[in-house]
Amino acid sequence: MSLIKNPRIKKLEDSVSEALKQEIGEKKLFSLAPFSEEQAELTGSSDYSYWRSTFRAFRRHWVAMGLLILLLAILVFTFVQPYLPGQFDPNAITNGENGLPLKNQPADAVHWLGTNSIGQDLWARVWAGTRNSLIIGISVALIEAAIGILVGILWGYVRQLDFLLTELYNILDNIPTTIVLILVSFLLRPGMTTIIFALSITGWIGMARFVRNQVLIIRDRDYNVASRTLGASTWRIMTRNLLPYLVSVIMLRMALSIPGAIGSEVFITYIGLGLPIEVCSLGNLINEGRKLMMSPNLRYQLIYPTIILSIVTVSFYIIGNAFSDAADPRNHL
Amino acid sequence: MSKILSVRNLHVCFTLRGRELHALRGVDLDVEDGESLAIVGESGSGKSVLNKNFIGLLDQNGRVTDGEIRYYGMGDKLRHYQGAGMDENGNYIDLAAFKKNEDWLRIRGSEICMIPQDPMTSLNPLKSIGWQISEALMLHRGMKGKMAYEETIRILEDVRIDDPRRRFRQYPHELSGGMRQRVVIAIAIACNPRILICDEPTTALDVTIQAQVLHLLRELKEKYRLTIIFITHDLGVVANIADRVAVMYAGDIIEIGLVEEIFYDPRHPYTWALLSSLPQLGHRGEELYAIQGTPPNLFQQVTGDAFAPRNPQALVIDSLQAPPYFEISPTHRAKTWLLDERAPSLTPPEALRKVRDLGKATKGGAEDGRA
Amino acid sequence: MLKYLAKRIARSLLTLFFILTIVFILVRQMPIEGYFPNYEKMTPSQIENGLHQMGLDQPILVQLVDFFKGLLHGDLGVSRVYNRGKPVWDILKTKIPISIQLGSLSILFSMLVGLPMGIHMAKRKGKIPDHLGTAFIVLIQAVPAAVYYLFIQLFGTELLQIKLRFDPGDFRSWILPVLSLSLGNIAYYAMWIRRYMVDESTKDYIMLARIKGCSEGRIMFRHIFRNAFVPMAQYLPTSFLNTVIGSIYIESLWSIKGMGGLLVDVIHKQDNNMILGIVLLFACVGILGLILGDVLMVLFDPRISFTKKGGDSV
Repeated sequence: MSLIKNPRIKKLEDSVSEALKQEIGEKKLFSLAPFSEEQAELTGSSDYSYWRSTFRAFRRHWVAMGLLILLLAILVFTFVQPYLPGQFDPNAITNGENGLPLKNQPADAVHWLGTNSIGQDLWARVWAGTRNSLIIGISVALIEAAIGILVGILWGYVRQLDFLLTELYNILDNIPTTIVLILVSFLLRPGMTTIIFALSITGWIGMARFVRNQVLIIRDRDYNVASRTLGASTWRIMTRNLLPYLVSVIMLRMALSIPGAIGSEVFITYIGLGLPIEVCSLGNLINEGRKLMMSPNLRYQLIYPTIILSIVTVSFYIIGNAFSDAADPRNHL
Repeated sequence: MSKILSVRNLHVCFTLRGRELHALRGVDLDVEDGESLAIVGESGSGKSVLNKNFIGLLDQNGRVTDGEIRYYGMGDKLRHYQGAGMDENGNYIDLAAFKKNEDWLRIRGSEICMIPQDPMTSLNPLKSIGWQISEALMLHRGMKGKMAYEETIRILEDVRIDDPRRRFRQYPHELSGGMRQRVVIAIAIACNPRILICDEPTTALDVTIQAQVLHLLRELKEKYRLTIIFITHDLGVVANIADRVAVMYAGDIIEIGLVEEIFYDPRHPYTWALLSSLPQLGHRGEELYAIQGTPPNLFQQVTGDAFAPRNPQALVIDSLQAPPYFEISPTHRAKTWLLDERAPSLTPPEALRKVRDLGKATKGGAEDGRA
Repeated sequence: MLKYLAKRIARSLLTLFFILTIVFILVRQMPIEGYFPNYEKMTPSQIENGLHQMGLDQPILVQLVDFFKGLLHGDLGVSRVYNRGKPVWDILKTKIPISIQLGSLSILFSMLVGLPMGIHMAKRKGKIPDHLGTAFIVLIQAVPAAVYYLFIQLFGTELLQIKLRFDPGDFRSWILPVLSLSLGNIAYYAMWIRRYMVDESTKDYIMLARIKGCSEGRIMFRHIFRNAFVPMAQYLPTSFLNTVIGSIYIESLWSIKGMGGLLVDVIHKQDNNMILGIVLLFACVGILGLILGDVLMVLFDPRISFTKKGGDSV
């Protein structure tokens, strides 16, 4: 036994070696030992696994882990909330004992976050708003990813298209997306699909460029040429060499585009081109709250939606970045 | 000749993915003032790690866990030395005792300088080569302005760069690989060190340039009275320029001696294997010799002789106890049980006799080429 | 160098052309009702006459060509709704100075704060200043600007005793808008310069600088920062655009009589020519930023003027 696997038993092995040496006797000690080829090769090995190291690196980032749990809890809760007992309909107006709407009530046992200026329950509205904003954000992220990846693969793979699309990209990239957003929102009737459409049409471009660059790397980087030379199929190269990197960074882009989409929704609502009042969204809520911003006791109508918005956006941002850092092999130390 | 650097029982560990890598396992080495020492070994043998310790550029996750690096080269400057690491009698500075980066500022450049491996990336792409050389002059010899400029031109001539006044203003990307290497050498010369460490100085270069660079290094060594430490895996370079050779394996120096002793009378089975794998010894139509297996995994404890698993002629004791140094001559020693009087005498491989013959044949012409 | 600039300008003009075309077509899709304040009361022939007067009954390509022809003569058309009959350029002329002031102050401020912040973070990587800075950057980048603009307005006006109504003469009312507008860019600059400096610090030539005996301070500034600053030039255009977009919101929020607030207004009023005029100006600012960024890159990086820009990655 020339190598010890566990340093803790070195002492034991040492004493065993000593004992063995006494046992074996000098003559035998200095005679030729049997040689085994497997032993020679046994020595250098590494049990590195990309995904395992990625998750381990991510787990170490306790802030991101905590936020991930928080975010998942919020996600689950937004969809479960309407089915819990004692919940109000976000659009229903509650009337007080005198028959008039309960306007601008501070938080109490019935209305957990209070009511807004027309008597609707704020707690229900906040969760409805979060639900809709999340739907918008996630839909936009998914659509951007779908279109972007498709275009990106074509762009990178089909050599003839490369020049055309690259020039096109250079131009499209410089178009102020906010202006397009404003115009498109104005043209189509305000609504969920409008916003999702408006946000997606400018966002896929970045994803496409990124995917295209990665596809180019399939063809051109040495380690992929080496893999191809060794006979690896394109599928294998894509899944073993490219996909690990691709998936993690696509997820990063998606994770970052969600806060962006939610933010754009707030912006567009402020301008007056957002969702109609009946559809609750964080943008609407913040806008309504803004009007009451200046009076200290009504401020809560702005603050509660803002808090949940900030938690959601910051969580996506941090988790996205932490995951992308963890997925970088240089950090697998 | 006196010692200028003395490494005693140096242990270096790296923390990697939660585990400890024992990269240097008790290295002992004396470097004489004015000599050319070559350190040879495979990738992973620890030769780069050893040399990084001499200028304090060990990676962030590495540290010295035991041992000393005694630097004797400061001479009279020791009297005014205010920094860390000095011994009680004021004879040397222990570089392994340095804790802060500032401690190294007195050593780097002015005492010990290194020429990194890859000249293509070692130069600042956004500064002219003249500026980069002058910076060294400013840092270590207090030269500025016109004086620095003239001295830089002189050094550029020393390293055989043509048209130095025009080249001064050029940027690294305008120069070829060989010229960039000369610029890096110029920077090192400008620092005016006692010891120059060359980390694989010819690996990144074409064969034709290699000879020129080695020749240049020999010249500069003479002119500036440098001590040179070469790190290389190329035995050809070793034969060309070294006075002494240290062979490293698995974080330890397993054999060290004069260059003739190593080439003509090696004693360690690893050295035998290394020399046997010289492509020049191959017969057309026959398989080239290659050492079986791979170097040991230094995350794990090594018992006995690290080379034993790959050595078809290992002794039983090789896997039980590590051999100490056995002296073959005052200048030649090796860590192998084969040199113990109780060990059987084994004949070195046939190939080594060829090395001797080849060497004797070219020795007449080679001797002029070597310093 | 000149040839390179010429190519860039040519490309920018092409981009401008595309932007205007797309916006033009989009804007022309707006419902006709918006052009007439009392649509319901008008007879079909009156509507037709009105459309004809405004040149809106022509096929779209003809309209497009007419528009560009007018553009080449420096004629941006006349405002139809916002200020009936007044040339677009005259209206814009009055609004531009304020927006430029706001924008320039903001960009200047962002650089003066953002760059040192990023450098400090890189210097103290992993320590408290780095963490604090990162928290700041995360907040600014994750939380939508719309939201923190509001809060700055809310707490800023109370804290600093500033009026909500913007007064260009009173420098105190400039503080909060400029600050709000700058935050995004500060976070941006800090994040990128830190990232670039950290990337540079692991490069081989930095190791050589250390071997040479350079102190860490010298390395940080004369080698790392100086080199990391070069790719920063490409973020200049982005920050110009950020400022432009941000100004749309900020100007509305603080009732600043600039271009941004105007844009929202004219979109609601469907004043086509005004919309096009403003978009043109905004696009020009963006492109100016791009060209500036390119020029700076060439100035700072000796490698670029000699090699052809372009290649694999976009």
